[in-house]
Amino acid sequence: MGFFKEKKFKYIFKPGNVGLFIFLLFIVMSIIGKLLPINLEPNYSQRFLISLEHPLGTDYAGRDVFLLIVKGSFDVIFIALLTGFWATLIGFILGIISGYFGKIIDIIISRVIDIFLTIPTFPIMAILAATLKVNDIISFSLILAIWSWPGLASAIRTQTISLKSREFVIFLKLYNFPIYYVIFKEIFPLILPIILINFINISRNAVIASVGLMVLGLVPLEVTNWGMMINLAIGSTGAIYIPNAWPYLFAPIFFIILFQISLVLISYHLEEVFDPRIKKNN
Amino acid sequence: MAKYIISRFIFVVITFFAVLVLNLFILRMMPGDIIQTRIQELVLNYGYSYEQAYKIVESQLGYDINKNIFEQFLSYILNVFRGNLGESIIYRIPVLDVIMNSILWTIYLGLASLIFSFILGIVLGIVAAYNREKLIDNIITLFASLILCIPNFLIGIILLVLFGVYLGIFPLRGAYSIEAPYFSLEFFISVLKHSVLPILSYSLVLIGNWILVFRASAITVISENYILFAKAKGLKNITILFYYILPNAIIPIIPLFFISLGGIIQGAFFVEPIFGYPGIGYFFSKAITLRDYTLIQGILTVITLIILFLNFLADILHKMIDIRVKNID
Repeated sequence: MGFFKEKKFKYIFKPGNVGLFIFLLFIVMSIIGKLLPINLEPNYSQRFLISLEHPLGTDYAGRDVFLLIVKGSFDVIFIALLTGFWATLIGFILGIISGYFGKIIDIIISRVIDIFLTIPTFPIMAILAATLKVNDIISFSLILAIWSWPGLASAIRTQTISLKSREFVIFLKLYNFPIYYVIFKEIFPLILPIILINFINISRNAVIASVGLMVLGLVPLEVTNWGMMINLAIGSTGAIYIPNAWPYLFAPIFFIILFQISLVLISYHLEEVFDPRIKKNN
Repeated sequence: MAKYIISRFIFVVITFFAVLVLNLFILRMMPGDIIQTRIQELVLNYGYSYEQAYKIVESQLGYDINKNIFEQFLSYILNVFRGNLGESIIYRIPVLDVIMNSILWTIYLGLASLIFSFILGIVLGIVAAYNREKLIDNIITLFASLILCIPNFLIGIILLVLFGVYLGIFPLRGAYSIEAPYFSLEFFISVLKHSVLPILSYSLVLIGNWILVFRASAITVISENYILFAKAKGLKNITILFYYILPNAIIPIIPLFFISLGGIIQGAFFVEPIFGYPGIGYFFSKAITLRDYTLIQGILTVITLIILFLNFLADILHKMIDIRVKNID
């Protein structure tokens, strides 16, 4: 029994679990920030101040930086996850249709995938986000998602093509099982790992893209949003020149990087779990 | 091979057309009538008559705005192929001039950071691969995986505050010092000094990338029989490293070199504005904030062309190098 206990102990401290733990902390933080009423009244006498009361300092209007971070976490995290969701949906539908039905549909869809994979996406996201005057997280995440799905679609397409010619699928087809049964009961569970890993990676890239667009000041969301905090810190408030204000700049950067690391750890872990070749090496 | 090149080329042309169509529709999708607003602005602020203002806007766009959308698209495409991208609405000089003046800075940053990161990444990658699963390998791989988590513009901000503001070693904005006369020694030194931080912010992420790619590539080479044979012959470690492992491990990742150059040019949209570096990314973010539509369209067109060209090169090189792709048409 001691052997099992030891193994379990090791299992808890695996990088993937640490990633999941940090990720869950972020989710809790974002929900707290969304639901609890946080007092963010400006207090200009306490501008850029670090004290015991404000361990991460205050911003240009005297608001506590840590409270700003908690309040703003919902937007950052849910833009990322929503983008992941939309992109996965588009990628899944197009990938399955293209791979399963083949022929002319496959040719058209795979050309479209290739085109979306090649054209420069960041500038187009920037144009769309800025000119459509996006100011809510759902439409922002849609704009990001339109340009994030092709990698997933192409992965699902190749997997579906190879699964389609396997015996069990041919068998189900011969017995006239309905298409949705074959897709959701037989193919879906087998491509689930790819979907999960891609979902995390798309969300990760969505954090970079959304924060980047906000740092450039192209998407004006609330001042509590992490990207907006960085934008204000390096831009109009001049916080980069005031040492006392550096926590205001570095706190959002730190939390963005931490969130990124947690997602990367989870996706490495998933890859390890689902890929038998990597498993064998360890 | 010829068949492959032709099929890739057709793909490039189709993608380029798709972007041109998108380009024209971006102008239509804007809320409000951009063209009429611009004409009104010219009439009110510069005292032109309506007809004059209309003529100006028409010449800036490069096509007649009263014709139907297909004719507009046709003349737009013809203009693009003649090298006429219209005139910048804000700067009021040809868009191509703005791009020509800025693209060299972007390419300089891109190539410098690519070469720098490539060399460092290869050195660290091969060290990691050679000491596989020892402490030094773990440290290098951990560094690479962590640095890959940080977006390059955030690294840029950190470097800017640390070296620019706090230590004051490197200048904060611009690409060269205005005081130095053009093409003097001081000028080149100031260019170098201004480019250190942007190059570092691109390179750090890229180094992480190259380390992982090169480590994987070198590990496959090391497990080959000819390396075992070289070791059995009693060759020195250095000889094995430079004559056997390095060349064979670099070859498969050469196509990636071109793809990452495209990646850097895209990354320029985030990094250059932070350093106020007058490359194409800086002018692009300026153009978006100032709603300079012709400049936005022009830069998007040129960037797409560059990236398509780089991908085309990478595809062809990949096919020439990798024997496994050769048989697939």
